[in-house]
Amino acid sequence: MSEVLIDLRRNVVPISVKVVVLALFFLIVATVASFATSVSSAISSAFSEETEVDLFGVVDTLTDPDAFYAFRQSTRSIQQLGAFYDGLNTSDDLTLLSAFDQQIPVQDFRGGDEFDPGYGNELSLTDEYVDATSGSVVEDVRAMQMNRQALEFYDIEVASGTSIDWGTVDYPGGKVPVLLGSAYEGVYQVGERLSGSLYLRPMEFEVVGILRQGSAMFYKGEMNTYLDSAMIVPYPESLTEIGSLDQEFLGILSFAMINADVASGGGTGFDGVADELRQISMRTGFEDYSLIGVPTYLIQFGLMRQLIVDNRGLLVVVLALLAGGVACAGTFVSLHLRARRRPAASVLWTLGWSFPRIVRLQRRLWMVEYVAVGALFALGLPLLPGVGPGAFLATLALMVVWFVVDGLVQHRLLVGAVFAVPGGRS
Amino acid sequence: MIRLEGMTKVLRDRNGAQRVLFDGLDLAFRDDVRSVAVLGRSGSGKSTLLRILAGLDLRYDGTYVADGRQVSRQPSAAARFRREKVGIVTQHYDLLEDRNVLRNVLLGVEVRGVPGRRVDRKASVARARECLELVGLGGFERSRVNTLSGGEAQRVAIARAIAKDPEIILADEPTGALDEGTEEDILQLFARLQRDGRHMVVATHSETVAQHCDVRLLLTGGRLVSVE
Repeated sequence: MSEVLIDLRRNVVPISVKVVVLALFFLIVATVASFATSVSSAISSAFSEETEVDLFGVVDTLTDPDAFYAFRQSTRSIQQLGAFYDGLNTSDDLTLLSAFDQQIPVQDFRGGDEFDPGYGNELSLTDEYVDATSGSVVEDVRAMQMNRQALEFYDIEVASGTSIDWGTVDYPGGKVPVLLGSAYEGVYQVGERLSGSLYLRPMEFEVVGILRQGSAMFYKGEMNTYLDSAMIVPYPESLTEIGSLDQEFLGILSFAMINADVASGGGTGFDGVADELRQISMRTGFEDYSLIGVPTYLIQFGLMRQLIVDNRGLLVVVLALLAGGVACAGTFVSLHLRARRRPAASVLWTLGWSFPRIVRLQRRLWMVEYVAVGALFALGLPLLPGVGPGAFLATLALMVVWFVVDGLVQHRLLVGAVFAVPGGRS
Repeated sequence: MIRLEGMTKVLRDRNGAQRVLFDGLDLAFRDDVRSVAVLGRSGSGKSTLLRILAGLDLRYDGTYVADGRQVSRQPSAAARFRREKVGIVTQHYDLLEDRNVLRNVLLGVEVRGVPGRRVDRKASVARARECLELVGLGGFERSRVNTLSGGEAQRVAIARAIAKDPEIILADEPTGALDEGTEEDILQLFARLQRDGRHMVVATHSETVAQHCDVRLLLTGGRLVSVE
């Protein structure tokens, strides 16, 4: 054992360099492996060519305030609008993606500024105020209302609780289940109820789920509009069968819902979508709409996918270069260590130490080095963002292979050092 | 004491060319011969002969008998022979600079330790101190090796070589790096070791060293020739 301590004391610098270099290498491998596997998974599912769609915008054309007001005063017009929405929402040829980021006033809100609609953008933060409808002190929180198809299309899933039970969305009763973004973790729990309002109508929002961190959607030209600090409020499934609602609220809600994106499968094209809208319009009587192309979605989608694919290839090359560099550095340090240990090994052999005894000493030194590498790796691993189990196991396997190969190389170098005297080992 | 019969050693260089170093070499000296000097010019094979005698070089043909028993060419058996019977002193001392004088000598003491058995540290240290006293370096235990003079370093190497109480001491150019005065000190030490019962084989090109030995042999043409 004293020979081990003497060696460690004498070679503390090169051993430390070797340990740090190898531990860092394995930590980098774990991180990149985790990234590569998650990217591959994303590409094969969400970013595959099969998921490409054409996206168009539907907007109402009632830009004149008087015309808009008059329309909302007409029960028949509102019914036609509702039927038009339902026609789009139930079309077999289209996917209606209705979403709007109307902020929600909430009473006794427990969250901080990060949930304010103005947080993180150019708008100023809002303070508490007295809600004219309820007379209560409320605070505006960031929210996104959306229909079922939008929730499913953008793959918005919960990390805890359950997703929206659309059968429990009760606008006439003022009770609506909501999802909260991941930033709400620890602020509100699943099952809690928030009192607030939507378009001045008092509502009770029951928290049924907390979203996965990083949930995002395409919204107003932004590829990744993150929902971590948002409250997701479901739209009613149908406007024609919504039940009894005052006309003022119903009108505002209907116009909010009709201004939406429409997704169609590849091949339908603008003309096909326009034709389907025309038919729904003729069936329902609502004509005050316009269809606009949203090529930015497709371009951004394609660009993002290509960026990921290109970066994945770049990362593989970088990793290979990095691995090669570390292998060279590790080999250099190992050779350097062997050279430093050579005189002692040679003297021990000359004095009459048996070769197995010298090998045992070498193995103890090798074990010390690699236990240190393993310990440093274990210490650093929790600091890395979300290394998956597959990547971890792959890194562990690589580590074992490296240890074994280095051990064999060290043994070979030891044989050369000890038996440098010609004609030693037969 | 030592007998070599029909020793043949062939060296091969990188190009595959062969050079015969020993060609049927014979060497024998009796127990009453305490010291043998092997003379020869550079490249004649003096150091190789000593390595063969030490069991460090096992690639040869012929027979090597020491103390009535054939020395095996298996590395483990050769190492055991070297461990138990042979002390080695080289021209450049081969001391380890990562430890002090005492620890260098302790290597020679503890080499005979049995794996798995704890070494009696006190006894080992006492033996190492005794060897240092014997070579005139009592008090140098804590000195660093790189602070020693050539003569002192060679004395430490000798102390290490005798620490395991070997029967045979093989010395390869032991005074090659020393001045005349220091050389004489080392030769006096060698004489004392011989009086203590040890046998020495010294490879040297120095006539002065050879004259202090009982038998002088010249290594020439791959064979040993007695020199009067």
